[in-house]
Amino acid sequence: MLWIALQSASEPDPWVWLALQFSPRVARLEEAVVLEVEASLRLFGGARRLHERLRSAALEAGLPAPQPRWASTSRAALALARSGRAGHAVGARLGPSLDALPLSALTAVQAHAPMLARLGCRSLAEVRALPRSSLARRFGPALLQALDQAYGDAPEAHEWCTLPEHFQAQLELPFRVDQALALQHHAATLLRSLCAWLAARHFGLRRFTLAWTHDAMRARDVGSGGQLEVATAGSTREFRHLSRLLDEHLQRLELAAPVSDLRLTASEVESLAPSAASLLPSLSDGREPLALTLERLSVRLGPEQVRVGRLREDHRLEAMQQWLAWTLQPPSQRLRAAPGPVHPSGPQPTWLIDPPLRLATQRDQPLYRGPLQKLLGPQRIESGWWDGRVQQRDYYLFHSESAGLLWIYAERLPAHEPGWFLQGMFA
Amino acid sequence: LYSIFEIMPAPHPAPALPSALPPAVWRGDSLDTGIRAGQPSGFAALDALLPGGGWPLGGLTEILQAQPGALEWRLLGPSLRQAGDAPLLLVHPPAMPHLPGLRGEGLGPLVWIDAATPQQQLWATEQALQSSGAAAVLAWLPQARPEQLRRLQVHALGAGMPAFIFRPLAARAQSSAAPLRLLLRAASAWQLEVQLFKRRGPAHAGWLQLAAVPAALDPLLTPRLREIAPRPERQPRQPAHAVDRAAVGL
Repeated sequence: MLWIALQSASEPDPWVWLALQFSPRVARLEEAVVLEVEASLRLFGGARRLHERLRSAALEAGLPAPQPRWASTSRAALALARSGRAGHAVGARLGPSLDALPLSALTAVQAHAPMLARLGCRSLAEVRALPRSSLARRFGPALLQALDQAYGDAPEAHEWCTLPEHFQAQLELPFRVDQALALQHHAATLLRSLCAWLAARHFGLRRFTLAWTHDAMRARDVGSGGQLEVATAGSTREFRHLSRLLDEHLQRLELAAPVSDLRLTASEVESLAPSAASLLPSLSDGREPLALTLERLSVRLGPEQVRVGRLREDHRLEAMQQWLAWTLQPPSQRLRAAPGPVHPSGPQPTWLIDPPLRLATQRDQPLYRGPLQKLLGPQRIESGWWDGRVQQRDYYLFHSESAGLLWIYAERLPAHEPGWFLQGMFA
Repeated sequence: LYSIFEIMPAPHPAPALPSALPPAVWRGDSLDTGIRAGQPSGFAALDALLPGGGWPLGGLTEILQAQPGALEWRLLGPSLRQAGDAPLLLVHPPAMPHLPGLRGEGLGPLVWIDAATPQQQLWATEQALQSSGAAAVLAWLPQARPEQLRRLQVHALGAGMPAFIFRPLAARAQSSAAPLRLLLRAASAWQLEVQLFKRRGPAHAGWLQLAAVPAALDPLLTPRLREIAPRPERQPRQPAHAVDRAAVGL
């Protein structure tokens, strides 16, 4: 057993979430958070590495740098942390380092400190040297049990900490904030604890809500608050990505009144397996994966501006494909080649002009940036009787010296206006 | 003076350089070999002229043409076909891409990123260049300014994929940070003409003709159709200098 004690001066919850990233066996012991890491020690590459990771994770989560103490029992680790002594060397015998500690290191001993002091005891070793039977008679069983548990002579029992089922965190702002962008910094604090919660529960985030309450000193017609719903394209728990995404949303936000406090709720989560670490340096050399880039582009430019296409079985040019917002696609199909007919009927241009451009004519022949030369045709399309968008068109390939190869049709349907229309280009 | 002329040795042919020069010595008549290999363009004649033997992977390629949307896929299709499943990113294309036609050209999935203002187009291009996992970035930026292109070029340096910027012919007069700039026009219905007016290495003055028939039309063409040469009046006149050439392209 190898225990780490983290003394938390402030709210212990963030420390519990931090500790749960490293081990499932985390408990609260009096004012501290203790975690048992022996099984995880090898995974993290030894005690020193684990110490460094703990420290950097705490700093990342916005917590003060921890002063963790190690010992083979949780009470001993706490006693070392309280006394402010240097950490106990991993693997060394516990007895000598505990013996020298003052009475205040263990709560059960501290409770009887005046009496013990009158007996001439100043350190734990001197208390232990007293006869056990008379100790138990005079001070009750709690003192002896605490000593035995600290020295590892009696088993310890802990109630393990678990995480709340749903994440909701609140932050009261130190001052009123008028600008949406100024919320960024405060929201980041909440996001960090959200990321810690996600990491400890092995969850990825799909959707979160940032809600705010307007200050009491507000105009009468302004509501009590507002909220911002942020959806991610794929489940993630990476703080950097989430905060960039939130920034994009905050940049587009205008606050109706100054804000006094913030609430962050994880509205939709799903389990997320962490990606396997690679022995070789990653090929992407730290650049952003495409999916994340496109997600940010969708936020800034608008979801309709980032599109992927789907092919459809149809003979009408404008009905052969459908462009959809990238964010609306199921993640597995986003960057896949569109399935569909491999050999569509007839030649297909590479650019489509939508709606088709009506061309001027000269002696019944079309003109587009000068005279055109007819190369191929006609290809007759008659289709669409079933959905009311009937087409009867003759397609021709024209060549223009300035504009290249053009796909131009002549309207044949009497009900439509006759004429020549440019609908595609063979680029 | 007279005596000096007497003393000067008669001009004689330069001594042949030893063939086994260290690779660091650059010969004036050869292309810069210190550049990393590019992505083959699919045209052997063009690959021979491109530094790195193909489209550069760490830098912008600027393509100037009179009419956007006229010739892009025929020039780039053979190269982009090799991308496989990685998507192409199209920023602000001049018209709607027609997927059945592009599939006929052998091109894979693509993402169409439209942006209304020039600032947004530049921003989207910059973000696209910084991401990983795309096959290539194709951006139509008719209004980009030199300093904005320089910024894009910095991002393209580490991109590891080809990045093509399409601009109008008028951009030729502007300076540009793109290491490869070329003029593109149609020589006939089935032929492209390319001039690399800026590249690493010696300048390329002439026009390189490339046969490029759209894949969709190839099986339909008769021998008579293949022979059409719609610019007979321009053939005899040889443009004398760069300005004149640009004028012909227009």
